[in-house]
Parts: sequence; structure tokens; C-alpha cells
Amino acid sequence: MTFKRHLIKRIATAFLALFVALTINFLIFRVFAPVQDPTDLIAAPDFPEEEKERLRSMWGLDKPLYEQYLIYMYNLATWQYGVTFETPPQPIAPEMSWRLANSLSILLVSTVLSIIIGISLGVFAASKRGTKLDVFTTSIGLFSWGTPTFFIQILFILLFSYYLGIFPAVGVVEARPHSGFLDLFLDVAYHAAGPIITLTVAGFGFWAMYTRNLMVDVLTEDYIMTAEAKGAKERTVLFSHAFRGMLPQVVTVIVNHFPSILAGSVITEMLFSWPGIGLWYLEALIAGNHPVTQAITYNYMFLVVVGFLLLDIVYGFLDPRIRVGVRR
Amino acid sequence: MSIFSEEKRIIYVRKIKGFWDEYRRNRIGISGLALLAFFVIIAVFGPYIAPYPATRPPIVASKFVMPEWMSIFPQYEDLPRTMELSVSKMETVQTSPLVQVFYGENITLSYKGKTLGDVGVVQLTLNFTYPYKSPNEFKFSLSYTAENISKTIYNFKVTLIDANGAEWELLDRTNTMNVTFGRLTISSTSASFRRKIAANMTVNPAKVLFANKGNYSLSLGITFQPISENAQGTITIKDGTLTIYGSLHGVLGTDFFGHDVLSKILYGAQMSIIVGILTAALSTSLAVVFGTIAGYFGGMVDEVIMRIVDVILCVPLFVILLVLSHNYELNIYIIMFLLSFFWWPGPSRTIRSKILSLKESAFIESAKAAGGTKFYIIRRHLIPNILPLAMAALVLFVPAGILMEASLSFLGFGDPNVLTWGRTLSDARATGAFSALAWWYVVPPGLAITFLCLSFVFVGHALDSIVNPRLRRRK
Repeated sequence: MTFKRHLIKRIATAFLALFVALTINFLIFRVFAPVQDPTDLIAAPDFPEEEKERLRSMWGLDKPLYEQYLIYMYNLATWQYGVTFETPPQPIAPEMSWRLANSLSILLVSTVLSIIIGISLGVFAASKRGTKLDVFTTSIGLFSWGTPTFFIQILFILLFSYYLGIFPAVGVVEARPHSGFLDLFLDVAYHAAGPIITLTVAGFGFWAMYTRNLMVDVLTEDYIMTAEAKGAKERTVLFSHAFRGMLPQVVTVIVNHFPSILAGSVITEMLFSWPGIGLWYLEALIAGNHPVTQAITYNYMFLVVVGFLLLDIVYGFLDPRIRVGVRR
Repeated sequence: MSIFSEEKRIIYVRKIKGFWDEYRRNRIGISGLALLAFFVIIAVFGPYIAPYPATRPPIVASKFVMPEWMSIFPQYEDLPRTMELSVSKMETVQTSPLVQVFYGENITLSYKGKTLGDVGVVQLTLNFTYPYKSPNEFKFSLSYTAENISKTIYNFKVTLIDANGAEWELLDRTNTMNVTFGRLTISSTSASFRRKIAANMTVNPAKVLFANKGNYSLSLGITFQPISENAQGTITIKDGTLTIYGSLHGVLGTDFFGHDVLSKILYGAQMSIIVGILTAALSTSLAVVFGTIAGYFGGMVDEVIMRIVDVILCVPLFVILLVLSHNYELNIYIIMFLLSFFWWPGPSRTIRSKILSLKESAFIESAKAAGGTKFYIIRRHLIPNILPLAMAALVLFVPAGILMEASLSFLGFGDPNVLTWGRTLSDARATGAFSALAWWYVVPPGLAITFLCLSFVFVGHALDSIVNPRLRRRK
């Protein structure tokens, strides 16, 4: 199987996965949901029936189900998402873009930080294998890995926001005029510090443990012994020889980790009142604002599927066996 | 038992012993095992050692009060503990010969009057020492039944004499003879009582009444006022108590409702552990079954299973669980099943590729040549060889399951009928334990989840370094 065929197959699978999940996403909300028609929730008895009809037609709920399905698919495919189930209905797309930016900013920064910290700690522990330093680093890594993220965040908020009052636990910026871009940026960074620090603290352990175990494995390979024997520096051996050897696996795990990173954003954003898509998702879910929930699920899935696809492409370049067409 | 199986048994025992010898040397592994044993003991015996029941727990102190051992700090030393004073311990101080007082399980007062002027008066008094700072709240409650009441009205009066000798009337109720049972209650938090005791609404009556340490006396006066000749009546007083709610309680303080937090934590252990173990067991079994089938049979079967795996892996599990839980109110077992359904694809991939490589190996070829059926080969040769992989997955899935359930419950999307640590945390957040700075309510369930997960992570780490030969220590 050549790389090209492999890639085509993966793209087809990715689209199949998206299609299946989006269909389920549609069925859950439009067919099997306890409340499918938000106009049923309008409690006012004197709410005019023609007004309800107008709302239904605006939301497209008066059309047959298959047509609704097609409209739903079209809306998602064009990234316009339709309108919210609110009165008056709001377009979803503009809010989605700034919320997505909010979410991705903390997720990206914290993920990158935890990967950098984790991988360096892991490499360090593996190179000091069997010593007290190794046990110490490994223990810290295991602690970070085993502690629930939301518990670290609760402790952080309890300690730094409620007891000490150092970091804010609410929002993105303070409600005051900002004197310029730098001022605004610093204010945002100050508010983002809590989520980013806690996500990093909770996240690096996994990478540290994974890298350490892989590295320990790689360091027993013959080519490492060769490199050591020819007198290469320890740094060179660790990073140029050993780390390169395990890069494909590390990349795999990074991408495989994508869904859980995204899922973690829901609780993080709720705890820190960070107006990203995770918080929006919770609010929309509780309020029965189905188009928003569907749109966010779609974005989550899209990011995951695209991540897996990118992984395959990167993997192809990193792993020569795939590039030259050897069956895995 | 044949000689053959006896031999096999010895080999197995030796294998397990060797394994244990190696495990014992791993310090992280041993601490993980010790932690795990601790949690299992709590899960099994928690309901028996918990000081209070799980359903309809009693109010044991004020809301959000600190643990009792905080009194080692001087500033908390004198904070009140919960005091319960029972009316049945009251002494009869002053009684007119017209009323007879009988002490038994309940206190019975029997009155008989001849003329219109025969007013029957009884005063029951309880002297007690109040040794703490003033409390936040107290409650008095008493229920009574009146029998054979005729031609008299009767009156209850509750008074408190405080440490300075001032007398406070807490309650005054007069009943006609038609009333045959009733309940007297005083709550220091009620608005009417506040109006009665304090000049303005910002003053806490409990602080006014129990302002100082010292000797107090609580009395219950009962007066029979005849309205005609030959009046009579019997009153029985049941379970009357004055409860002064403490500001320190137990090992882990109280929650928003004044319930014991320690009991909640002890009851939560069981389900928190079961969720993890059942989810891990089910998802690992599914992974072994489907991984083996896909790997061994190959072809169309393999293709179909692996495409299903690809699709499931793309589904954002957590958000889907939130939706399902919100729409259909899932119970805990369905949540476990869903978790397993979404998790088996991960390890099934590695198991499949292991089976693929095993299939080509010589010993499988010879087993086939010797006439082993497919099922026999899978059972005897393939499954034992993928057990280490399955075990690694199992040990990883347990903490993952615990965490997932805790996260769901924490957001309020768990099973509302099951008490887990995640739900305890969620309750804490929802009732404002953060702004009350009630760390004794927030930290213990979180720590419990953390250490439960850590115990499995530690055990998994130790197993990994034993089973995986390349991770073994170089000698």
C-alpha cells in the first residue's frame, strides 16, 4: 500500500466518521430529544399562535425531517451553523468565532507548555534512570497524571482566588477601558493565567511518564550504544539520536490526546467562567439551545478528525516504513 | 486431581511468587497497593463506620462548620460544640399539689382541680453550664399530647435565665381543651423569634441569649387554668430537646445543611471505586474480544471492526455523554456501559496488531498443524499472550473511569441517585462551599478521587516496569 492510497483511505474514513457522528448528533437532538420544539417551552398562555409559527419557520422546524437534516448538514458544512433557539434568534457564527478563539488560546498555550515541560522532564528522568532524581521526577509526573484536572483547578481557585485573592476566577478581562493593545493583552494574560497554569500542571505528568518510558526503551537500542561508543556527547545522544527515534510515537500520542484536551476545556471554562465554547456548550445544553450544542459538537469532531488526518500525514513523513509503502 | 494438573499448579504458584518477589521491590508499586487496600477497606466498611446514616442524615451542627480538631488552634478553642439538652432530664422545681408529675419514658403531668380557683402550676427546670463562645443558632422542639382534658385551658411557657441572671421568655402558648396534641418549636433563625428577642433584624438571637459562658437554666412552665369546677387533664411531654448547634464538628466538619461531611465521604467510596473497576473490566474485555477477532480472522471482519474503531475514536466522548445524560437522565450503569463502548477501540488496536504478529509465529503454526481448532488456539495460545497488554489497559482504564464519572457528576450530569465523590464535590460547589472557604468540604472528596486514581496509576507503573522487559532495570 503506497502512502497516497493510505492517505486517501484515511480521508475517506475521517469523512465517514464525521458523517456518522453528525447524523447521530442530529438524531439525538431533533428526533430523540425530550423537547424538540422550543416553542413548546414558551410558558405565556397568551403567546400568539401565529408568532409561534413564525418562530418555527425561522428555525426551520416546520419543514419535513429530511429537509431539516439537509439544512443542518448544509449549515455545518458552510460553517454558518444557522441561528440559535432564542427569541429573537441570533446567528451562531460570529459568537462561535470569538468563543473558539478564547478556548483555543488557553488550550493551545497550556498544551504546548505541558508538552515542553513534560517531554524535557521525561528525557531527564530517563537519562538519570534508577537514581533518586529519576524516582523523584517520576513521582511528580505520576502525581500530575493521576490528579484530576478539575481538582487542581478547585484548589487553585480556593487558594489563589478566595483565600489570597491573587488571581481572578471570573472572565477574560476586567470591565474597564483599556489604554492600548498592550494593556488589554496583559489583562487577558492575567485572567488566562489561572486556566493555563492549572491545565499545564495537570497535563505535563502524562507527557513526562510517556516520554520517560519510551526513552528508557529507546536507550537500550543498539544504535544508541553505537553513538555512545563513538564518543558522542550525552546531550547529542539524548536529543539527536534517541529523541528522534521516538518522535513518531510522541506525535501519535499528541494527536490521540486531542479529544480529551478538548473535553477538558468544558470543566475548566466552567470553573474559571472563561467564555469559550466549553462554557457555551454547557449553557446551551441546559437551556435547550440545540443548534449551538450541535454546532459545538461539530467543531469538536472536526478538530479531532482533522487532527487524526494531520497525524497520518506527519506520520508518513516521520516513519519511513509508511513513506516507502511497507504495510504497518 | 491428576498429576498433570498438580504440576501445572506448582508452575503457576512459582510464577506468581516470582512476580510478587519482583513487585515487592518496586517502591512506587507497593505504595500504590497500600493506597488501594486502604480504599477497598473504606469501600467495604465505610457504611458501617460512618457515624451518621446516608439517607435523611441528621443536622449535627451549624452549616459549614470546621472540623473539631481545629480547636488545637487557640482562636478556635472556645467555638461551640453541639449541645443537646433533653427535657426528660428536667427537674420539677415547683409544683402545686393539684398536679402530679410522673417521670418515665416521657414526662406525664396529671391535673385535677375542684373549684374554679384551683390553678395548677408546674415548673420543670434544667440547669446547665454553657462553656463556649456564643453559638450561631439553636433550636428547641417538644411535642405533647393531652388526654382527658376537660373544663380547663392549659398553657406552656419556655423561659431561659442566662449567665447574667436575665430572664428571657422564649415561647408562650395557650391551648383550649379541644387541642389534644401539638408541637412547640423555637428556631433562632426564624423571623418571628428574632423580632421577639432582638431589637432589630440584624441581631442574631442566639448570640444575644448565649452571650457569655456560665450557668444557664431553661425552664418549661405548664399552667392549667380551669374554666369550671371539677376540671382535669393529663399532658404527656415527648422528646423535648434544646439543641445548641456547634461551630465545630467531627472529623471533617459539616456541609451547607449541617450534615456530617465524613459520613458522605465514607458512603461515596463504594460507587466511586465500582464505577472505575466495572468500566475498566468491561472495556478491556470488549477490546480483547474484538481485537482478537479482528486480528485472527482478518479480511472483511477485520476491515469492518477497524472502521468501526476509527469512527468511534473520532467521537468526542465527554460532550456526547453530557448530551445523553442531560436528555435521558442516565443511571450509573448505563454511564459505565457507554464509557466502555467508547473506550474499547483504543486498546483493541494494539491487541489486534499483537495478534497479527503472533499469528505468523511458529508455535501457532505448529498448534494448527497438530489439529488445534481456531477456538482452541485463541483460548490456549493467543489470549495468554495478550494478557499483559490487556492488564496494562485495565489498570489505565480504572482511574480514567473514576475520573470520567467524577467529572460528569461534578458538572451535575451524573446519576442523581448515587452518592460518589464527584457528586459530593458538585454539591459543595453548588451550595457555595467555595465562598464559605469550607476547605473541609471541598478538599477531602477531591483528595479521595486523586489518591484513588493515583493508587491505580502507581500499580500500573509498577506492573509496566515488571511486565515490559525493556523497562527493567539494567543490572
